Amino acid sequence: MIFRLAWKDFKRMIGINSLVIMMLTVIFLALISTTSAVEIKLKKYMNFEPYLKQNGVCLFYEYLQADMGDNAYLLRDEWDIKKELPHVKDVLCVAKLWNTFVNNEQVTVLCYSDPLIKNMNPEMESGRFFKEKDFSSDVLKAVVTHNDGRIKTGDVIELVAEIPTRDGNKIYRERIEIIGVMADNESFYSPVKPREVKSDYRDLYYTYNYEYEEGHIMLFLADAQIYEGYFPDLNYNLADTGIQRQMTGATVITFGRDVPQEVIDNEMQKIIDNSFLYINNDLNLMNEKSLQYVLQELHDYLPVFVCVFIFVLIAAVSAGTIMVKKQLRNYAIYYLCGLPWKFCALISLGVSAIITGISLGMVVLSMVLVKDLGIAANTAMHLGEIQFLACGIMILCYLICAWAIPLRIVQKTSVKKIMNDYHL
Amino acid sequence: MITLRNINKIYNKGQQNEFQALHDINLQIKKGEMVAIVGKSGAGKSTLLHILACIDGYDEGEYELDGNLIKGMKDRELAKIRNRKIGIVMQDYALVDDFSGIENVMLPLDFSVKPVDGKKKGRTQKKKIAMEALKNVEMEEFGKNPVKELSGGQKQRVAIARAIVNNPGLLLADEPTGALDTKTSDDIMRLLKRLNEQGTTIVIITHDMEVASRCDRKIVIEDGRIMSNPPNY
Repeated sequence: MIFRLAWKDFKRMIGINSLVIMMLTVIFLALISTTSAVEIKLKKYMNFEPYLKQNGVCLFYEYLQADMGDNAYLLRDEWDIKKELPHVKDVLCVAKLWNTFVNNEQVTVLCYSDPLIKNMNPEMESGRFFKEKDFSSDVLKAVVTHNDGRIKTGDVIELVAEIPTRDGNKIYRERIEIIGVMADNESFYSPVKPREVKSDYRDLYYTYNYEYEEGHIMLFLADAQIYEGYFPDLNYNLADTGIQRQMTGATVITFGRDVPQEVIDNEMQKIIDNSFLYINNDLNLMNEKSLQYVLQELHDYLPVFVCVFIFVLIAAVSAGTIMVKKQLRNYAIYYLCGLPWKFCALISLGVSAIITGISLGMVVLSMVLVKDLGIAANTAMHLGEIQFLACGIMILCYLICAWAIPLRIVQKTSVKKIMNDYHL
Repeated sequence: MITLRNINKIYNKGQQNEFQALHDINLQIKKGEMVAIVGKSGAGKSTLLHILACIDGYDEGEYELDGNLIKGMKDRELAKIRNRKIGIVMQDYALVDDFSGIENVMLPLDFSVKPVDGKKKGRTQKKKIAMEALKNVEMEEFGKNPVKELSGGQKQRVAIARAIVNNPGLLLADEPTGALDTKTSDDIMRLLKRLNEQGTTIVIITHDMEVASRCDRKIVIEDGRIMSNPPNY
């Protein structure tokens, strides 16, 4: 019954209510956008937070080597690093396979270490990212970057690797099943040196853009599956035949908390002395800077958002107050018909609930349209738990104000006075 | 049906502008009576009506309605009484302008916490009951029209239909013909008389002696005091 009366009231003041709906819709979208932007940054940081909090380093290099001279060999993967540095706890690394082709087109194949595969959860355009079950599959599984439909989820493609040997180029062919296509503009663990060094978690990410890459495809493999026997020759030391697999981009090496700094320095020196390093960042410093960056984002967005939120709340509550005052005659009539006076404030709350519901509907519609039309391809907007929580808190604040103010007006106004004023 | 014993009503008690609107009002109205309370403007008629309608309280005395003492009740209980036991008709009709006739009449039904006959009424049933009330006041054809399109007399009929839809025992009318022409006033009075003959107790507040003459009893109030209160045999 209250809802029916609220609906009537809502229609009666459709002009002012439409304005409030538009304001609320805008504030919801702003809230979703803000929280999405902060959440994405936070998530990206949180992906690597367990590692950044440890003792260790983040390296960018031309090549990593543990020794010079006759015993020199390039470190190819996390196992090589752990072999050389026995106190190492975790290694995050990516290796590139050279001279790889699909359909006669050169592609970049990136092999990710276990911890990275488990931590990465990129947005997929279709299909899915790696799961544990893939590592024991008969067919080599791969994820591919956005490629305008040239390679689709479910496709079984032939990957060709040309390995230069003393006796000429050796050709390896391997069937690979595509389990997912990554969304365009998605970020993943960086296989390259950052263009601009930030010395925080951002250095660990690379954002792929199809247009920027001029259509060059990247293929992702999991080391956990590679070492099940595919490309077996790659496991051998082929330093004299050319490089088939090389660690590239960011390599994070961590040591346990109980390992003395002296030991860490000694072990790291082995690599530092024999490798060509571009960047050598301490993880603790990177962690500090990462936190600073994320908090700075929050710090930058929050005041603007709070001001807009307060403004909209005031405007919405003012509109509600005007509406209640205009409805007092009707409330007096309801009172004469047997509705308790304080219940009249619930009618106003009902109107606010209707306004909120319609605003939320418009927000969802906007987000669907924006997604379908690709307008917000480069913006951070998604509806997740945090967005629902933030919107929920805002709705609660709005409804509390929208109910409290009319209740106060109703409590402060006597029915008899209204009856006198309206000659009832 | 109604018993008032030594009712006193004081506005702004204890303040500089303290004003006693009613002085020792003693009154009894039997079930089925049609009583007019007459007096000049400011005599205390509306104050008395508000007390009878449970819109306002009183400071001293006792008000009994159907054997129930109306004193110190909570807003919800008073709302229930207004919904179930009392029908109120005002001079200005007190209709929601953009509702239709039937929507106005259905308001007391919608606000009923417990249904009259013990069963919960659905919307269809409520509409049926409202239509019957409109029929009783000869307004069934105009039920779907927005009330703002109706004439004064038609609006007052709709107001009366709303007042009787929950079958209250008591109908209180404050200057029901005050805004109407002579002929329409006559129609409304005849309608009220018919309702009274059907068993509804009616109390009409009026300054119109013509209206008062059509009631069973005329109680005169002046400066908040009952000046004339003929016995109700």
